[in-house]
Amino acid sequence: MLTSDERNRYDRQISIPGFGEQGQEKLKLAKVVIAGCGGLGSPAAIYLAAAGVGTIRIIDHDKVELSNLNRQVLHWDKDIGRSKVGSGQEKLSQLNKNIHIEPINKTITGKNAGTLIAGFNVIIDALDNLPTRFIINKAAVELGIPFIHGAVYGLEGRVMTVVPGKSACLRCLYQGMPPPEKFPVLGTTPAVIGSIQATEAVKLITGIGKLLTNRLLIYDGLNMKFTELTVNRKKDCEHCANQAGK
Amino acid sequence: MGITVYLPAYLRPYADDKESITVQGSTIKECLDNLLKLYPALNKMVFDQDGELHTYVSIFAANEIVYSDQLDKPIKDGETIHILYVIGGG
Repeated sequence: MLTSDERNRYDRQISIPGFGEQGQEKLKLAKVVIAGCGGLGSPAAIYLAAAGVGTIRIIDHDKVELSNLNRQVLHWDKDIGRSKVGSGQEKLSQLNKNIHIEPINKTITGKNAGTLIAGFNVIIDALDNLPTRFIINKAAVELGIPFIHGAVYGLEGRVMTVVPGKSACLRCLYQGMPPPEKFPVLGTTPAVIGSIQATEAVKLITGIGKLLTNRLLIYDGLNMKFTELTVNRKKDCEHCANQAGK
Repeated sequence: MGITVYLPAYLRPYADDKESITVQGSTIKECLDNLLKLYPALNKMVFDQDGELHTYVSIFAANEIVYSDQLDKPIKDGETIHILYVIGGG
């Protein structure tokens, strides 16, 4: 049940056809994990907090550095040296006092991933490295929790929604990892991709629209165009081949 | 007309900074081989030492993913191939 203050606060989205108070109530009850509180995690968290997602768990083990500030808009000059999740919690709580922010200052590993995401409705992949993305993808598939993948490089970004047992997963798309390297990025790239991830999360929770399942959306900021490619479930996928609904 | 092969930003420096290149070929593999003849520097980025597709490179023909054991699939004149090199930044 929404309060009168909430009806007023979310009026512009409640009035979207198909959304309504019912959609807002679903957001209020929803629990979203944002894995990574950096370039992608910042816009995703800001828009999900503003939209009224009731519980947002932000996970990151890093501290804010000067070189983060060109893109990680949750963190400001005054936050340098502070934990990213502490900085994020402060801003998100000020943006929307009606929601609950859970800061988790931990490294995601194969051992703790399942525990960190269990009981949540949606996972936003806002990580900055592939090994951890694969760990979270595997855990999400095993627990049947929808997973919204996003990644950036320079002015290019990619996003795809995974509904375990129903659509292709990250491992269907990529099976391995190249040697690690420092990635260049303009702040607007994760702003675009993180905002799309937040949009997908809202659609998943409220049940409106058509998801980016089996569809990889590529943003090419250099040429300012979007391309959509079809990703089918890989029959022998290491992560999702044994999931129901294949 | 030929087949247009699109490259992600990461691979463009290996092909004179081109976003797309038109090649000829009747199968996906033939098109990739012809692309690599034009831009040999791309070879190590797409295939490993044994000539197998890198596990972190994905190929799409006619906008649909094709896996490494499907590269001998035919492709029609006018269709497209996308080569995606994994990106993991956030």
